[in-house]
Amino acid sequence: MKTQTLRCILIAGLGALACRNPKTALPNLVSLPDTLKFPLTGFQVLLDADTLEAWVSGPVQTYPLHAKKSAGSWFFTSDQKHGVVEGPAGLVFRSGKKQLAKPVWIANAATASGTSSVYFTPKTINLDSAQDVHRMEHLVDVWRNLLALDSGRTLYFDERLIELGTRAGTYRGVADRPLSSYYVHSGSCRDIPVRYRFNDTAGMAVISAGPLTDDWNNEQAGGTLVVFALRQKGKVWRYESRLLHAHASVAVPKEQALGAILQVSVHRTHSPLIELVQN
Amino acid sequence: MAVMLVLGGWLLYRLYVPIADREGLPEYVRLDRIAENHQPEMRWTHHSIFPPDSQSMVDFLRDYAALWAHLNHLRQTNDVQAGKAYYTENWFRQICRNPAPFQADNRRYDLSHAIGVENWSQDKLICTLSDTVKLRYEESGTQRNARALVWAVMLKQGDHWRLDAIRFGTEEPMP
Repeated sequence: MKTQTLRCILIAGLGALACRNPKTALPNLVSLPDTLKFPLTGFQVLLDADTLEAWVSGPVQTYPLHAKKSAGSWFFTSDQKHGVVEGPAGLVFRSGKKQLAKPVWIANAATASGTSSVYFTPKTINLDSAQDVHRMEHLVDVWRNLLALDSGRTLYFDERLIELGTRAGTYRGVADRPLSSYYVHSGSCRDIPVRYRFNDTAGMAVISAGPLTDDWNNEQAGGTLVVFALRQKGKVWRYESRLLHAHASVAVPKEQALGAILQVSVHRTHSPLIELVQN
Repeated sequence: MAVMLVLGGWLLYRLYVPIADREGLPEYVRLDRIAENHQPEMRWTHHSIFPPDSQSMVDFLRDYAALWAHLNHLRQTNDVQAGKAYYTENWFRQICRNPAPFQADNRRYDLSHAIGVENWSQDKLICTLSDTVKLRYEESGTQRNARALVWAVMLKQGDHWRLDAIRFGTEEPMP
């Protein structure tokens, strides 16, 4: 008798699902919402069955439900205490070998504000090579659901080319998120100003180069290698120094420097040839 | 006698445990039994500022198909471990919040994908996409087809493209 009753209920339910008329839908399933919101507060179903299993087949995972019979109706709860990946789902009831599935939408009870994910490529830009950067943005909630960027809920992604200024520095795509930073480095140096002086007391010549700047007056990065090459009597002496605050200098024995031809180089930028003479 | 037993055990181990299933091997040596034969029909176009190149898309589509094989498996079993090579850390953390293992006899298959690449980074590390996917559901002996809209964010991390975030849109019944 009970089997026959359950069969009737399931057939009636499936038939009602097929015609999709709310007034006749699942006469023995009452108060079933179209949307199940997680975490579930629980819902009640009138269903004539001795044993009942139920679960929600979400778009990504399945959430088993606890079924408890009380006064002729079934009450369902879930252990899922967190949010879910939202989307189309199936609410499935099973009693023995009989199964009934109802399409539902699962969503999160809490309104998620979402975190903006902003990506810049390249992350580090050298002004020699590019003066724009590719920016991509989307919005993700804590349950990894993409959120729409517009009110019409049709736009989930945004990308654009951002024109950079010519000022070297560290910039942020989102003000309070350091991970959204991108970096603009100075380009190659424009020219190399050189000065020198002889120190007769010490018997040395001090040669300095700087300030080294790019075409947009950004200082060259500290630590840039500066090469001082002295050519005299068929020999070449090579001295190296690192840039600090756009300046670099070396001290050279006077006998090597006096009358030598000097050229200062930073990578492929060279100063003019300078003959070192003592006034 | 003991030597014979040890040798016999070793031989059984070699015979019955295929090399690809042994634990402890690097991920790139292991065989992915869930994704290896999953080959849905896939078409793609792009709406991005920078177009992806064809070779990159071959790699991308291979991983995207494998991802869907694992998403279908995950939906059926709640087995979060199997597809972790295709999940970012954030996505993995999210699905681990539903720890209940489950074995539903409701299966889902993705039959075809029509992918629109929405954003593509020139360093080939970020891809966002929209996807019109044809799904087949098999539930208690019956089957139905549906067309679903999906938006996803994929990040290239390590050996694979990995799912970072997703949005499932509405489904429409299909013949």
